[in-house]
Amino acid sequence: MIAKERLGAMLSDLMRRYRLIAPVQHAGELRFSEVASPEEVVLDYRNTAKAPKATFFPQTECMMRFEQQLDRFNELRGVPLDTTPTLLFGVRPCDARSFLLLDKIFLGQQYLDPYYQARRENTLVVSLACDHPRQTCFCHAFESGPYDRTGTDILLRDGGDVYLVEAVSERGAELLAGLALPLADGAHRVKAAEIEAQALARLGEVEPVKGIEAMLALLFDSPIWAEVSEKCLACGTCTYVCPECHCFNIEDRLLAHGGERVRGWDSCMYPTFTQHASGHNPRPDQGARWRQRTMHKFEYLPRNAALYGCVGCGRCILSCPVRLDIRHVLRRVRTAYAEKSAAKVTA
Amino acid sequence: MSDTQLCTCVHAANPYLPMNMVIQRVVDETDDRTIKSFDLAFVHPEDGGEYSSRGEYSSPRFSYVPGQFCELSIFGQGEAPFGIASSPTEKGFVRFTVKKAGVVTSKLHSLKPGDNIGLRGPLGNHFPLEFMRGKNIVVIGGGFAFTTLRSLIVYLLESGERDQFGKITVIYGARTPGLLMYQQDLAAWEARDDIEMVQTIDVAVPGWTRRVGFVPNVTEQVAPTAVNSVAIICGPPIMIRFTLPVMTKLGFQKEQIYTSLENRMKCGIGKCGRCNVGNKYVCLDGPVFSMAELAELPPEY
Amino acid sequence: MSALPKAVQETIAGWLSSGAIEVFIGYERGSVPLRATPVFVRRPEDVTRLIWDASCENNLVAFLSKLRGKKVGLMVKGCDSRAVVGLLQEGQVIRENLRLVGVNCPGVVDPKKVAAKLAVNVDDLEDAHLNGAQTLLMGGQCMAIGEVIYDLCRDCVHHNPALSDLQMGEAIADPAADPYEHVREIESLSTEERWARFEREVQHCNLCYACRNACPLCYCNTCFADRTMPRWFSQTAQPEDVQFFQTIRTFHLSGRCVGCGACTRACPQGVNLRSLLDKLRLDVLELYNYEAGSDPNARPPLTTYREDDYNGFVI
Repeated sequence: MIAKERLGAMLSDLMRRYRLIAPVQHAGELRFSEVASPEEVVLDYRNTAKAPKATFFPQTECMMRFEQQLDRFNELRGVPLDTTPTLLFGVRPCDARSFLLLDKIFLGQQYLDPYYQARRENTLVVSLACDHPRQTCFCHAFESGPYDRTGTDILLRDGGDVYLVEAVSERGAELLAGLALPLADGAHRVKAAEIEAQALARLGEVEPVKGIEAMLALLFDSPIWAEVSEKCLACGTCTYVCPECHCFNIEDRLLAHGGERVRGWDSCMYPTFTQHASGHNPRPDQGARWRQRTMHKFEYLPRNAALYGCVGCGRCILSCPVRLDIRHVLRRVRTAYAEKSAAKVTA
Repeated sequence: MSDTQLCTCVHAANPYLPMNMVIQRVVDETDDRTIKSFDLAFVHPEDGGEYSSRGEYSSPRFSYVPGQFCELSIFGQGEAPFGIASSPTEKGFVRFTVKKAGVVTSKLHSLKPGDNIGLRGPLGNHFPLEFMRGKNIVVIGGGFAFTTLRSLIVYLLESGERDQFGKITVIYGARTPGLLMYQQDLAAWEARDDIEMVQTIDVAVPGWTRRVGFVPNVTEQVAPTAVNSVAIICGPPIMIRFTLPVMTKLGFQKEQIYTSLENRMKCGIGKCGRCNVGNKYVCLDGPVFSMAELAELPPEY
Repeated sequence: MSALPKAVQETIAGWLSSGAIEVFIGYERGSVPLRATPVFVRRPEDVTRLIWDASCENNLVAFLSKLRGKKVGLMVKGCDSRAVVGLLQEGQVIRENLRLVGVNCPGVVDPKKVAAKLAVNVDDLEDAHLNGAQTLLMGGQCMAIGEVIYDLCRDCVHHNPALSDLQMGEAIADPAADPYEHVREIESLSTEERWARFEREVQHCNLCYACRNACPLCYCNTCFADRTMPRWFSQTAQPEDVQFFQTIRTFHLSGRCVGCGACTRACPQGVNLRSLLDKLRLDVLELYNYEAGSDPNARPPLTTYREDDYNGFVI
């Protein structure tokens, strides 16, 4: 364990070896950012406005540069990969869990994404158990919870005037061994357990997500998609703040003598996301696009990667300009499935 | 990896980096000049190798199978996916047939022999050659969609394994004679006796002595046997929609019919989340799918 | 407590049953405190879901362009009704196909102001709720709603809807205030200073287009921002891309923007779009003596030509 008042000194020490990324207050918004000094770090918080996925998958990044010489021959140059040893500090368990899916997308399958890999391999994740889930949180719908250890290297738990520090992975154990922290004593363990119980008690009732993929498989043609997406403004804010959303665009930018190819976040909520050059669009309306969002997160990804594309952090609900609630969409999926099943029985 | 010039090891480890190609030859395929074929050669000869992103080379030459595609880069404008129109049996160049439609294709159409573009590939799956061995092959194409079918037909005829396939029937239709692509190849195939070559146009024009009629109707007339056969159908959605019932009528099962899907793509390697049909990515699990596989997927393409 | 008056509910239900409208767009309680959410009511019995209070922030007129040709009812605040005027001027809606419940609106709560007063982050206002028409409560703390409404609402001079079929609420006396006060000082800035100011205002924009999508007057089927042939700017949100988009959108709205603020409230990055648009609204007022949103029969100045039009910008 470490006394809270000594955390700053420990972080200062670690900052000699690692770039520290932690929650910082920035003009009324809490966000994950590189810190210059441990005083900036905020740990007494619910959750950040945006997910920490930018640590591994920045909003825009240059993938390569090309130079134009003699107006004809283009020489292509790679860009240096970001291998700075990094400590991603103070993420919530829901966000730590989200890295599993991103790893499967960017590191798994047939091709390896070197930009993501460089950052991910050189980052140690230290998560902070969530002592105050919000009304919009639904991590417990995924057989998870505010003290989940999935996806992190080290878990911190609030023990009153200390944090209990627990190694979860081998890399976490290595780092911890080097810190020579005192073992947590009985009184603090009891206090930590109390705080955990209070956190769990705050979680409201929620329908488990498990099994929704089977329901969705039967609802492709359902009229519910037009219904649930009617108030959606297609602004894509939900996809930007979501820890799991990873769709991206690749565009070329022309500069004075050549240019660069840039990857940037994109959103399935945008009308032109799937539009062909011919003008044909397989997802021509917002209902089709909401169906894709829901199916991708709750049916296709479970089938392909055995993981849901949602961790229940609730950021999309809080940031949506019309407060579209994805939990209501899932509820509608369940009722539509029940209606469809009932219809089959009576038919 | 530092800020280095392009070399083979760089793109083996980075599936987003294209290889540098030079345009050798540009040819108009259609009389309205909206479709051109580009023959490309590798600027760095050692690039012509099959690679996986884990850095493993299995052969020293760029090695692909009919049905695969590549992402072509016009530096400064972007990338777009194109089916490979040449067959791996054709050495010294890789051919792509490009229809002018958007930003990338318009810029590509303005390029000339000697200009450089980038290439990433080969990507995607391919026509099911193993499944096709020992069977009759029916190739049905419409308009611009004939590109990878050319790759397949040349491969079947030139790979030295012609005797491993049964009767080959090709039905290729376009609106007008001037819109039929690969005219030299079509003429050569017509002259051969190991392939039945059927060309058709929509409406009769003076001087046209071959068949007239839409591809689905002509297919019904030609009536290729479904017994021990595989059909590969590529064409505009409307052509496919009307040809499928004909195939069913002729006795073809869904497992015997293959097609190649198109979708808007960016990364081409199953990461950017854009080209999926249901839980399958057209760039990774496709673009070649059997009708049986498509029947399991939502009709979102 | 926030449910609509019985008489209003009955009128809306009547419109639905009689087929005068096929859908009524209003507000209902949402999952996020201090924020109502739009609701599309199609069955008369669902009118009980509708609410009106200081959490009803969205401009529902933005949904009309998705329901072209249909018979639609909706709730409009003073600002929203002026957007309806704009759509009528431009032939985008037919008055007979609309049923408007006009609400005399004293202002909508700005959660950021509430959060600032309570020294918490705006996403952590869980226990906050409206307590009647005047006050707001959170964790034992109490504040007057009037103190935490949006700046735009505080400066509003059009509280009562210009158009409606049914009016709700007490008429509110419009103050004799200057709604353009916050942009007048731009007049005194030099060109370089104005450019620096503009650069600073839009630097956090990431081209999500929430502003455009929330705007009732951005209804083009294909927005210039979505064109690839020609591609006017790249989607990677570099400063030049963002500056291009914001400049063109603002100019496309000149003489048309009614100052409803939907764009500014929808922006997830907190860009002060209101300052850009109100500056152009002020210019249009001063140069052409015209304010959008008042008269459905008026022609926006940039769609008409008069010999005495201001032309000082013609080189």
